Amino acid sequence: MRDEFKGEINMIKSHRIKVFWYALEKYYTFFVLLILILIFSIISPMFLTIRNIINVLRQISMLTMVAAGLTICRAAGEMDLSVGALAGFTGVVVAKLIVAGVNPLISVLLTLLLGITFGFLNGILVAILGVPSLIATLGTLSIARGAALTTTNGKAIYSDFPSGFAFIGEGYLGIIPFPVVIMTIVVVITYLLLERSKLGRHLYAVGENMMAARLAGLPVTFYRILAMVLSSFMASIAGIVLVARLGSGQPTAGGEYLMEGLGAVFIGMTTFKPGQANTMGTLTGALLIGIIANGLLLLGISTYIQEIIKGAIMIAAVIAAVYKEEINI
Amino acid sequence: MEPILRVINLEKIYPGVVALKKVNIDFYPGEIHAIVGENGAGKSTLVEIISGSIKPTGGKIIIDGKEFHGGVREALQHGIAIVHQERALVPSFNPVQNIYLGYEKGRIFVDDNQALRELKKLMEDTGIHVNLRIPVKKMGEGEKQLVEILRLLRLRPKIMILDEPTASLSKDEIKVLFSILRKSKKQGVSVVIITHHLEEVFEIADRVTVLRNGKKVATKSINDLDEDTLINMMIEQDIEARYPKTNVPSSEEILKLEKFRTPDVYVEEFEVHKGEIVGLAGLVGSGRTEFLEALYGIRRKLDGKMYLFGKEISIRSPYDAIKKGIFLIPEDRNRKSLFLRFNVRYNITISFLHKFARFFGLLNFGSEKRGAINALKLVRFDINRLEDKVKNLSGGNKQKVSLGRWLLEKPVLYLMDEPTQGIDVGAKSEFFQVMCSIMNQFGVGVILVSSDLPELIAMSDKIYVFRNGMVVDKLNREEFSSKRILNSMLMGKNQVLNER
Repeated sequence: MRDEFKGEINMIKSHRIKVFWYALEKYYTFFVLLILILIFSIISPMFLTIRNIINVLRQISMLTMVAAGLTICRAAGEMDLSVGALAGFTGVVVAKLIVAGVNPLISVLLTLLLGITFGFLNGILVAILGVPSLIATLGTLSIARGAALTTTNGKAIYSDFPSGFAFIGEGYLGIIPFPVVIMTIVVVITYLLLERSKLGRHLYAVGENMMAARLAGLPVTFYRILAMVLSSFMASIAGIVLVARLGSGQPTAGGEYLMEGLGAVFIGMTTFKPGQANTMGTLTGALLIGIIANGLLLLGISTYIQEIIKGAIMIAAVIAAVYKEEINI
Repeated sequence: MEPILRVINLEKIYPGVVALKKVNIDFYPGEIHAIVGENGAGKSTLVEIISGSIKPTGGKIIIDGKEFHGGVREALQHGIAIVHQERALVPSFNPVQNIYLGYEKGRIFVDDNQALRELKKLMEDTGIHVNLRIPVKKMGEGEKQLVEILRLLRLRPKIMILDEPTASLSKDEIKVLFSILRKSKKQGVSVVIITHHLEEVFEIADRVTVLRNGKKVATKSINDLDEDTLINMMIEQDIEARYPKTNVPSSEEILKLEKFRTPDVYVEEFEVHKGEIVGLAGLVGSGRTEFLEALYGIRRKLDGKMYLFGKEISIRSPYDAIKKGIFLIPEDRNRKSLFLRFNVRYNITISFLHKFARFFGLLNFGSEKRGAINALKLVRFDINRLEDKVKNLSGGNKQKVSLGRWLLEKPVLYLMDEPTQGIDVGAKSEFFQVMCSIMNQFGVGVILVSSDLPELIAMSDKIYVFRNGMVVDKLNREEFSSKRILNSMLMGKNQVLNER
């Protein structure tokens, strides 16, 4: 009798340890983020100031918008390599329109429409013509980049943008920079869409098993196109904010958003919902990327070495997660 | 005689699931040892551990007096080789490349010709014949299975494990396989075989181990067993209850087809009534699956009329079918029906999420959960596993999830394509119990495709026999005879009539 009782206690104990390990595994990347924050704030007194935190958030705001779009795309099982180039292209288009004297609000709306159209073309290539998204968007990446260079003749577009437009990039709501406000809205909407809505569940279903989704009566083609459209749409928002922030339209800007955005999504796939692209994970990934860059900067480490460290940390985070959970890309 | 392989207190515990519990078995050289049990009894887990691809959570394995610590390479070095239940072939490689994968001939460059000569000799010795020149992806399931068996034989193992090797083989191929196994046994090899077909157990095995719910029930010599005892050991249930048919067909018509034509199938007339199970018999490739898929809107209809409750309808997509209450339970549920990494709840509600959507399409998780639980209760699924990932479920439970999805809205007609494939005796009978109770509750009709003829005869109210995309025979329940059905399947109706 006593032995049985002991066994039961042991089982409860081992269960608790299991739950603990499970939580550690699931939120591993999140813990890495917390530990990094702790280390940086001990080493540099500047790190944990409100000003610096806001600074980090502003720096990752555009990256996060792009990454949110990529998250939707990955959830539906597709890939979008064209986001960075599209951000650059939409940036020069909005700059050009404003310089040409078009009302800023209309310029922004037209540019967003351009982004949606671009995504729609990606979607048609992928879902209707059946080109694998990795290849299709590699092609449209080049097209977007070329279009940006052609429209600007390879030169940057400088201008004094109207204050309303500049506000998108440089304005503040209270102490919060406006890009951070936009980022927050994008993240919240993406979260609600993917985690809480019917649409999101269906997108994940298409990404998980397209054939089963079709037999379950879901409009698979529509969802695949939609995923590409949303990805492009969010990249366009980032492109517009970028121009408003830089104060000029740079045809080659935005390229780094692809690598860093994908980095954020992949880091995000290690946490919250391991193995699947998910919004909270992506946000964690973007924060991780931003905080590493910021912390290393405060420590006075050169930007060249920063790149190396960023890459290494990204790989390390994913290795730890892959060890436990299959991540297929 | 000393056992060549001893399994001592073997345990495998997954989070929340005990797959094996303190299992002890001795395997001897020169015997054929069958392992039987329902799906989820732990058979595959056991042999996967023995062959080194899964690590146990407790217990020991002793091979030839030495302890074995796992690892596929190590298992091979110990002389253990396995044919897995799932295919383990590289699809674009031909059989030679597959069989010699990891053991390529030649010093610097791969010499496939030497391998080819060796393999031809092996085929001659064993009597297994496959086409060695074409990539395995172009082969049928049976031929692929033979390639796997050749690979196993080439390794000349001391312990041979075969996990359901006969599932996709023809009668003749099974005969060849069994003669090889008997020959290997004479040479002192220890053969371990898993199979669902009990007649095969009695044909070939010397001893039988029965597993149930991860525990060993008994290991017995085949001479001390008969089929009834064995089944009772497996399922604790009467054999009469294997095909519980309780549905009551009424005269009210649900579906009627007239001159229904698709590129693959032509059906002159076809009727399903309320509470009726209409069986479709036929060989693989006779057009039964294509027929169901056309009714469900995945395949194009060329011609003909389709009536639901007397009203003419047209179905162009699964969405149309689902809206009308026509639901498909496809064959190959892992690939065509389930989202394996999703939990049970997601899988149940995926087609009817709009019922749980509130403003802006946001889901009310509470009502979603209640909806899923209601459906799961109808299929008698353990609701404590609502949040488990589907990939961790057994075959029978997966099928319950496939069926449960179609209980969120009132069903009218179920199209079931091989619903009991890969499911063991106990889960099969439970599936049919559930199906019949749902049919009686909602007055549903069922079109049942099954290649298991005894099952089809036991469950159906009438049977249409398909051959080359045509209905060649139609039988009412009182006319059922396996001889007539087989004749029609193989040769068509006219020949049968001539014989009479």
